[in-house]
Amino acid sequence: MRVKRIFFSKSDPAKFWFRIMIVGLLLIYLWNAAFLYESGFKRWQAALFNSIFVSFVASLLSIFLGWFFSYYKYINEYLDKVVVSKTIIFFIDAIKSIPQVIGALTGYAILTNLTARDYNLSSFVLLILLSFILGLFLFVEAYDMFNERIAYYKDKDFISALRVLGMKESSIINKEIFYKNSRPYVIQKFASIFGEVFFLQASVDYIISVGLTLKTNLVSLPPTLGNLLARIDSKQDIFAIGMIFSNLSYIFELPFKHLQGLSAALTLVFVLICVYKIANALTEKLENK
Amino acid sequence: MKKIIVKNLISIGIISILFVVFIVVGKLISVSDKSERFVVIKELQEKYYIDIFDEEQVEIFKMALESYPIQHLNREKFENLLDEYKRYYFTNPKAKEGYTGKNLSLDYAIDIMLMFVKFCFIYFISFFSLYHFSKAIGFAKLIREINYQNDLTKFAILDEDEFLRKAKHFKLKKYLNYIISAPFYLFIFSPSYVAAYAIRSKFDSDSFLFLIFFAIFTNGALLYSGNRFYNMLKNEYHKGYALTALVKNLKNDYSDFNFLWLFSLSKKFKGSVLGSIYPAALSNFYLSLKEIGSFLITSLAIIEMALNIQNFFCYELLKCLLFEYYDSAFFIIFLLFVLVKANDIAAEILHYLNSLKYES
Repeated sequence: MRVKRIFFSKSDPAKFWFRIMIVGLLLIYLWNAAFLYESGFKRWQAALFNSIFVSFVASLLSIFLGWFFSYYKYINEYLDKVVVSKTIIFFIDAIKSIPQVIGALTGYAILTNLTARDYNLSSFVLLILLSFILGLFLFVEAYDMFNERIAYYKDKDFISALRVLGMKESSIINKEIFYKNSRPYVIQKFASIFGEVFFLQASVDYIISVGLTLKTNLVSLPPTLGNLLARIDSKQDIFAIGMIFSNLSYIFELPFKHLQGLSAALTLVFVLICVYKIANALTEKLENK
Repeated sequence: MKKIIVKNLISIGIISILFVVFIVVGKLISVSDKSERFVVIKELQEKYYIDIFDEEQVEIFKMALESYPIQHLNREKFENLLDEYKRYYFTNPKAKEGYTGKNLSLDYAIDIMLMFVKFCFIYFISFFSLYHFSKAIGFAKLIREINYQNDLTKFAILDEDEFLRKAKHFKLKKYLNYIISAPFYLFIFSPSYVAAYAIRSKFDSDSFLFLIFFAIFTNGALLYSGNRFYNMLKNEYHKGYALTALVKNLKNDYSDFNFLWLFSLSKKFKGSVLGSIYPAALSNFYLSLKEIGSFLITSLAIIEMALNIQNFFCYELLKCLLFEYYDSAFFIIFLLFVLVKANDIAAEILHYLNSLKYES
C-alpha cells in the first residue's frame, strides 16, 4: 500500500508520470541486468546516461538562451534601441525557419569534421558541444515563452506601481515577472524542451551513425540511444519485431533474444511518452490556474 | 495581409543573400569534384563491362584502341586517364563508395529542384492529413470529456449512489484504457525509423505512401498536434462567452454523436456550444500550424535520412554533407528554409482571414 501511495498517487499527474518514468526505467534496468550480455548492458547504461545528460544540459541551455535573448530584446526595445532589438528578432526568426533536425545535423557534421581533424576532444567535452548545438536550435521556444510572459505582465497595474516606486526595469523583468510569476511556465517549458531534445538527439545520432558512415569511422561519438539503435545488431533486433506479424508467439521470445535493440528502442519511446505526459499535465495545471 | 507578406518577403530576401554567400563559401571549401573527368572510364565499366582492374582486359582494350581509336581517346590518353583514375580511386573514399557526388551546377540544381517538388508534394499531403486528424483528435477528446461530465451531472442530481458507482466505473475504464492504448502509444511515439524497420526492412523510391504514413503516425506528431488543438478548444470552452451559452441552455449534449463524422472535411456544429467555440479555437490553431509544419518537415527529413531512401530530397542533403559538397548542401537547406517560410506565411494569412471573419 505504501509503495502504491508513494509512487502511484494520482493527485498530481505530472508527479505521477515522473514516478512512472523512474519505475519503468528501473524495470528495464533490472531486466537488462538479468538478461542482456555484459558489454551490451554497459553500452545501454552509458547510452541512457549520455542521452539524459545531453537532453538535460541542452534544455537548461535553451532556457538560459531564451531568457537572455528575450530579456535583452525587451530592454533594448524599452531603451528605444530599435536596431539591436530588430536584429535579435531577425536572428531568432532565421533560426526558427531552419528545421531543427537540419540545423542540428549541420552542427553535428561540423563537429565530426573537427573531431576527425585530430582535435583531441574528450567524451565530456563532446557531450557538452552536442548539447550546445541542440540547445541552439531549440531555445526559440523558451524565448517565445519568456516574451509571452513579458507581454502578459508589462502593462499590469502592479508593474506600473513598481516603476513608480523606482524599481529598475531589469529587476521588474527578472525578479517580478520571470522569478516570481513565471516559474511554473519555465518548468513546463523545460519538460517539453527536454522531450524534444531527447527525440532530436536520438534521431540525429541515428542518422549520423547510419548515414554519415565515413565520418563515424573516423571519430566515435559518445554512445547514446540513437547510435546504439543504429548498430547493426540492434537494427536486426528491431527487424525481429516484424516477425510477430507472422508468428504471434514470437512476442514472448523477443525480450530474451533481441534485448539490446529492443531495450534501446523501448527506453527511448518510454521516456518520450512519460515526458509528453508530464509536459501535458503541467500545461493543464497552468491552464486550470 | 500585405504587411504579413512584405514582412516575410523581406526576411526571405535577407536570408537568401546570406545563403548565396554560404553557397559561394561552400563552393570554395568543398572538395573539387574530379569524378566527372572519369566519365569514359565509368562508361567502359558500366556499358562494356570492362574491369579496369583486370590487367588482361585492359591490355586487350589498349590494343583495340591502337587499331581503332575512339573519338578523343587514343591509347596514350587512355593510359594517362587510367593512371589518374586509379590514383583517385585508391586515395578518395568517395570513389570506393561508388558515389558520384556533385558540386552545385545548373543540371544538379534542376535535379535538386525536382526532388524538392516531390518533397513538397509529400509534405502537403502529410500536412493536410495531419491537420484534419489533429482536429478530429481534439474534438473527440473534448466531446468525450463533455459527455462524461454531463453523465455525472445527471446522476449527481438524480441518484448519489449511481453517481459514485459511475465515477468508480469511469476510473476503472480509464485504467483499462491505459492498458489497451499502450501499444498504440508505443507506435505513435516511436521514432519513425524504429517503427518503419519493425514493419518493413527495405525502403526505396516507391515508398511514397509509407513516407506519408510514418510522417503522420510516428514521432509523436499526431498526438502533439491533436493535443494542441484540444487545449485550444478547452481554453475557449472555459471562456466567458461559452459559459454564457451554457447558461442560456445552448445544446451541449453529444451523447448521440457519431465519432466517424469527426473525419469529415468540413466540421460544423450548428446550434451547439462546440459550434461557437470552434472558429475561435481554429483561429488560434492556424498560428500553431507554423510549429506543426516545421515539426513535420523535421519528421520527413528524419524519415528520408534514417531510412536511406535514395533520390529523395533530404537524403541528398545527407550525401552532400557526407561528401563535403557544402555548396549543394547549403542550396538544399535554403530550399527547406523557403518551404518553412511559405508555411509560416500561409499560417499567418489563414489566421488573419479567420480572425477577420470571426471579429465581424
